[in-house]
Amino acid sequence: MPTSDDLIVSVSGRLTHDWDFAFYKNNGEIANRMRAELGSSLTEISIDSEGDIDVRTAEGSFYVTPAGVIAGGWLTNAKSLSEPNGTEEFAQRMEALGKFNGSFTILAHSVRLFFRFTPENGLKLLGARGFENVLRSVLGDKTPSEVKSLKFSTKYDINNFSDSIELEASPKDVQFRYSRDGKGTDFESYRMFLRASGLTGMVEEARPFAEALLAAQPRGLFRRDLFGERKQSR
Amino acid sequence: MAYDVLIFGLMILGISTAVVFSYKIAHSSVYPVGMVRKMPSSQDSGEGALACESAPPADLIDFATEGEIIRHANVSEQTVRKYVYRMALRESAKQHLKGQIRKLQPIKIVLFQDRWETPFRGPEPEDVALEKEVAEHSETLEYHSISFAALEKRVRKLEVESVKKSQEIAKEKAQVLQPETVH
Repeated sequence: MPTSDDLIVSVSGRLTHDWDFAFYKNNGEIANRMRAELGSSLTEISIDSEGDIDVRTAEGSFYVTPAGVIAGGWLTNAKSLSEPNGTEEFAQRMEALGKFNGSFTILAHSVRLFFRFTPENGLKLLGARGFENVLRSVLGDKTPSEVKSLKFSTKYDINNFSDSIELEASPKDVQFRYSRDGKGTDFESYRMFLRASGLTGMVEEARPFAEALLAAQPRGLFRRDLFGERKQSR
Repeated sequence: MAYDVLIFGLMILGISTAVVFSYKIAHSSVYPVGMVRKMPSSQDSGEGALACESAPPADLIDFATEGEIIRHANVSEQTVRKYVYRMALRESAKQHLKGQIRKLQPIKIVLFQDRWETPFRGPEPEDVALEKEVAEHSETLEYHSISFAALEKRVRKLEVESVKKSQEIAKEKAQVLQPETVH
């Protein structure tokens, strides 16, 4: 049976700072400096129609805006996230890109883990795990036996963080997002924020749910670690 | 002799005409600007004012409360209401003719507890500046929120696409390697 360690995870992040009023005037100059300094690690760099700088690297995409840096599509797996330096490179890249804008007061840090599952009868599986009860609490006896899609989201505070969970399911797949936000004043840097947020813990919290969905996936998927050796087929 | 009679007749006619017109002007509601007509003593009481169709001074309409208008101008609430309505109509027609109103607004007179408000009084210059600033600020905020939402959408799309692509690659590789693991 596939394990959740093999699960592909997409890490997204956001570093929000004070609004840079001169950004749209200087975005060309900033992009030039980025290209010169990042060199071969860049796949592509461009200024999009909104005036934001779109930075593509082999690991993921970054958008540099007047309000900060937004990262998306950084692929890893659950096992790598648990390692001590699993997100070091990601944090470094975020901070490096954030510094191109200049020195601004950091307002907020954010990280989000994205998981995608393709279980057979995913909607029924989620219904059986309790989501049907949510619908039943609203519709009572009129609850339909089958649903075409499902969306669930919730926000809550935990310690110094503000967490949110989003679940989106369709007959094709089940998408699960787990976000953690922190105040800019609570952490010295984005790296410190990531260390404090404990991505390992976040993955562990999501593990039972992920394993239930993985067990319902057709054979052949996720049997291979994205960056590691192929697992033995059983 | 006949010439003296003619002169005398003309004088009498002139004097009588002057007397008649003076009487008519004194008892009509139309009078030249600046002339302050003495109010009849019968209108001193509130009840007497009901029958009066004379207009209260314009500055009172603009700035005074309903009670002050009635008290100072010795006119009834009904008279004030009629006057304000007439003035509003007149102002509306004037504005429309001058082409200063782009969109014709319905005539609306709002009576609060103790204050008249006419819909055609122009805003103060500082109010206009403030409104403009608020509108610009709102537009900027709206633009940033739209921009932020668009970026968020792109990131979410990127998340799905990147993971989906990796999963498809992993699936293809697993299918290629499948025969090797069979035996």
